[in-house]
This record gives sequence, C-alpha cells and structure tokens, in this order.
Amino acid sequence: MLRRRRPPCERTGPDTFALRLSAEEHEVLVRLLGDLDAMLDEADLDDLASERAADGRSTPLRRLFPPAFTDYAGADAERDAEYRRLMYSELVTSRRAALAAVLNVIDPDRDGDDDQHDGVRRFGADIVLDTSQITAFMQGLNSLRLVLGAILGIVDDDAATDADDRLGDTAEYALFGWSGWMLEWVVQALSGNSGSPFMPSGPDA
Amino acid sequence: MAERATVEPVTASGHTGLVSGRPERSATRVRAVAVRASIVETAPVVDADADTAQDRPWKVIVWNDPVNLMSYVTFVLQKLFGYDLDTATALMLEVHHDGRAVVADGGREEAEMHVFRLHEHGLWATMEHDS
Repeated sequence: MLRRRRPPCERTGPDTFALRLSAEEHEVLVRLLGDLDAMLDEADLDDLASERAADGRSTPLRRLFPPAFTDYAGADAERDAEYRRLMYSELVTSRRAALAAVLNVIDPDRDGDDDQHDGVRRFGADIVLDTSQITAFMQGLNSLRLVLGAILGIVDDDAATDADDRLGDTAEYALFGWSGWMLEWVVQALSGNSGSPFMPSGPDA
Repeated sequence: MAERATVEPVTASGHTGLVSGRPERSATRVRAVAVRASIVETAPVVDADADTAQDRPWKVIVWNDPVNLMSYVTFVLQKLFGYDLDTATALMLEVHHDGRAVVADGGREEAEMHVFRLHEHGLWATMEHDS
C-alpha cells in the first residue's frame, strides 16, 4: 500500500499555513539560516559595494546585493553609489528581520525562553504560521538558496540544470536542491493553489 | 531561471554551513539598526537639478538568473505589482527567454523603491532611463 506523504507546506486556512519539517530538515535549516544571519551581521557593505566586478555574482553574499542601475559602471555610477550608500544597510536590516521572524517560528526555544514566541503555535509535528510568517520564511529560504547557488558557482542556466544531476555529490548540492523543492511548496501554498506544484494535475507528490 | 526543483533530495546530515563560504577578508561589524525605517522615509535624496534636467521616466528591469525559480519570480511579480497570474507569467517567461523584462516604470524615487523591493525578494533588478 502506498503511503502518501503530507505536503511539507500547505495552506490550512485563510491566514494559516502548516509547515512540516523532519528533525533533520529542521536541524539543518536552523543552522544554515543562523549562518546566513551571521554573515549579514558581519557584512562589510563598503567592500560589497566597491568590488563591482563583471562577475559580481560570484561572491556568495554579494548575490544578495546587486546593483540598482543597469549602467552602474557608466553614466549611472554616481546614482548607484548613492543607492548603495543609503539602501544596502536597509537590505541587511530587512533580510535579518525576515530571518529572525523565520527562526522565531521554527526554533522558538533557541533563546531558552519557553514562553509564547510571536504567536507560534504547534500542533503535533506541524508548525503553524500566518501569512506574514510564511512570507518571511519564503524570503529567507530564497536568500539561502541564492547564497548556496553562489557558493556552488551556479552562474548560468546550464549550471543550474547540472545541479539537478548532482544532488548526491555534496551536501551543498543536496541542500540547494532541497531548498528549491521546499520553496516550490511554499510558493504553491501562498499562491492559494492546491495539490502538488510538481504535477499539473493529479495526486500530491 | 530555474524551471522547477524536480525531486525531493535527501538533506545532508553531515556538517555544512555557509560560514565555510565566508569571504577571506576580515569582516567588520555593521552598526545594528534598531528600527527598520520605511522605504518612503529612507528614499534616497534626489539630485533635483540633475533629474529635473533629465526628466525622463525610468524603467524597472528584472534580469534572468539561474537560481530563482520560475514560480517564485511569478509570485513576486504578482505580490509586488499586483499583476494577475497571466501577466506575471508572461513577464516571467520574457525574463526567462529574453534575459530581461520591463516590469514597471515611473519617476526615479518610485523606480528605486521598486528595485529595492525586488532586491528584498532576491530578484536581480535594475533601473534605467526609458529611451
């Protein structure tokens, strides 16, 4: 008899979502999101802004801080420098706030405080989130995926396709694949669609 | 753009972390921001003279990248710009096939706000003058 696995993320009400993580997934996710938060906290924004090489996407964290102007190296260099000066710190703050919101949800006891954390509710193995929390989770997960992609040197579509065939090669490839798989489910849930995002119709994956 | 994550990979139980990918240069700690100011309150100061002289609208462009999922890009375009699914999907496919697509336009401050929001969501976005 086939055993259907419940979706890792699904909408359970107008403003509620269920997130289901295995113990292993939970452990890895908490660690990686914590690492990402630490990287953001220690980011040297001047360095990120100054090393605007043609291959500007190759440094892991830099992928989260792209230029704002198409002609950032030419006619709009000054405008882009102004944007970086004013807005990169805002990007750091925004990303860290999203990560904090996610970690408060999936690891509420990490501060040793067992009291209620941001309205997180648990029921069995499900983590119940509201729309703002699942949106923060989506953004944090995508940031993580972008950094993993930069670490793996995924700089074009061919490399991305190749990554699908290399899921078992290293932990980083496996995590890159997993984060994409989870992100598909989260987007599906937020979009209000039912069923598996991996099948146009039919039963859940 | 990544079409779809097709399989559920086994997560790694061995240690891996982003710290191992940290740049070699020594990091300096950024001053902590206690409260996140709204994008409107922190909008960059416009050089009024320069931009009045060049009072042309700006285009907001989303560029293709190999990591962002197609479904994610579509959802973000709907979320940030209020596009319906068909419009957002068409724009996403234009990004995917042509490498870029114009997703919005407006004055400089408005365009910068759009770019910032797109960056917040991890999209590769820039702005340029509408020629």
